Amino acid sequence: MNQIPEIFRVVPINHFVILASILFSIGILGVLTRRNAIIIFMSIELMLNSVNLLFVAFSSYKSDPTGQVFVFFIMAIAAAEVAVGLAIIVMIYRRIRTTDVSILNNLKG
Amino acid sequence: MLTITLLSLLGLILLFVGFLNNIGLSRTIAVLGLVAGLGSMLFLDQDILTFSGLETQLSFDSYAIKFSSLILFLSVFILFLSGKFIKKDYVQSAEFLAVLIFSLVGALMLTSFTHFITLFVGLEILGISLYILAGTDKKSPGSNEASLKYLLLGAFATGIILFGMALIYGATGSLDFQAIANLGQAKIDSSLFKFGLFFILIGLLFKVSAAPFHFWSPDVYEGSPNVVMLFMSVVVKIASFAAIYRVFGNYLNNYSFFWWDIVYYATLASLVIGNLLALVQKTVKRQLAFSSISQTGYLLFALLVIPNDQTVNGLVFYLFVYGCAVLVAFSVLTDWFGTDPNVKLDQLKGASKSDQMGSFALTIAYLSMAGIPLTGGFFAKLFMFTPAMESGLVQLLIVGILSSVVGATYYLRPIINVWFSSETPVLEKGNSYQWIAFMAGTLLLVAGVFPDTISNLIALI
Repeated sequence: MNQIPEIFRVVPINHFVILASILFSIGILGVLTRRNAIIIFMSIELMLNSVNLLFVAFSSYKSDPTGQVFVFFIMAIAAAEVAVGLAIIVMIYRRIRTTDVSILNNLKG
Repeated sequence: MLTITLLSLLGLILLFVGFLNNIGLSRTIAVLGLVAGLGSMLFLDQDILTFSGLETQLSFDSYAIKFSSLILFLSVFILFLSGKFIKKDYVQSAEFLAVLIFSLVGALMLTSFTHFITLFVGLEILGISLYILAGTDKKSPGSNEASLKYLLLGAFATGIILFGMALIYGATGSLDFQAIANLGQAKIDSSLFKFGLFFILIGLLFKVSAAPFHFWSPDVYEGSPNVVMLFMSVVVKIASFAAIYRVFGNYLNNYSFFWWDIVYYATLASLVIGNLLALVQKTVKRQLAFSSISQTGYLLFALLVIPNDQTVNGLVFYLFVYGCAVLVAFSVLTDWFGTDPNVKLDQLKGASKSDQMGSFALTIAYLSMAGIPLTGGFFAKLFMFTPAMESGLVQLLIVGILSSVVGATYYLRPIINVWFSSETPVLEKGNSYQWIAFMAGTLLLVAGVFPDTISNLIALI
């Protein structure tokens, strides 16, 4: 990590931050507005991946490997979350034959 | 690391013991393993067993040991209470126990992290296990729905926390809490750092279910099986409070001028919303869910005052008393109604006629949650209010005291239903968990009459 590829320096760090923030906002909007469980789940993945992008960019600029190690942790755990999440969505689909979360309103008060 | 390793092995062993199809054996192994874990947490040096690279990222200091021992102590009884639920034929008992143990590994990491990576991994081990546990009652639509809601909102909150971590990493170039706690002024002033703190705080408030980020918790609590709701409102509450206090009370307290106001308003909102909405609930579990939001409000007092050992001990005392009270309530409910997840408050009417002891324990539990003197809840609230008074948070104290008065009215409803009703209820009349109710109820009384014994014990660890 002593030598950062010069290619990173071509793009200013602010651009990475702005791009990641835009991706993150798209993810949040997706979670808040979409009604399909799968698409909400994809939006959450988008949020996590924008975080990955931000970590990698900062890590390269600071010549510090910790950020990239963190990205591996995020990827591994996101995969675990997807495994559990898709299983839960399949369980719901078997019962109500749809993945539309607005139908799920048994619990309220 | 020793206890964490022990529990991880215990989880794996339980998965294999599951092949024998012997629920009693699995549960005995799980309980013995947890007791061994509690013993190793209290009496052995955690650093006997470390893994290279991790020794600087998890630190079992006295703060971590206090919270971890409390978590392990209460989860032993939760495991006993799970007996009736895992005997249902469509519940996978071995997996249920193993996932429960794995989630405890995450909970212990949340009490002892010193690095962003361990905080994140702990949150996710606890979170992912809970998504599964919430959905274990596969035949119930409520359980399915709770599982999905918890998954989507929990993952959402994790995403927010991660974004905050990335921003702080960008601002400071470090992911170690101690390094971030000792920063120069120039780095603190950057907007990246402020936004980072903001996102982490919002995400953690979400995880402790403080209002206005509480909307998921009543639904998830109501839909989950009873024993899982007990687990969430006891163990998960302790673990997430250990985490939020460790981040903002221990490490980032120097920067309290950034986050103090947000926590202050979240505290006010939790007290008001939790107590007012609990007034209109009709089922026992939903009432307890809103009561748990208001308890979050009282617990957040600890973040608003000057951090010292006394505050930490008060926090542990409060969580201990609250945990015991919920434990009593659920063991009595399990005795009376089995695993029925939708017990109405009206169904409690006249229960004292068929089970005096249980009704008595339930009364103590609810009185303690309301904070009536002679029960532990009174001193728990007192220990929370005293530092706040010393810090001069008068308005907050007034709201706190008024909302505990409102709280007392709805905590009295189940008590009135149990004792003063002419109806005769339909109860299952099992006495299998009476000993848990009796023991935890005694602890509540001890904490109420001799609070010094318990608080000295906590200070000793």
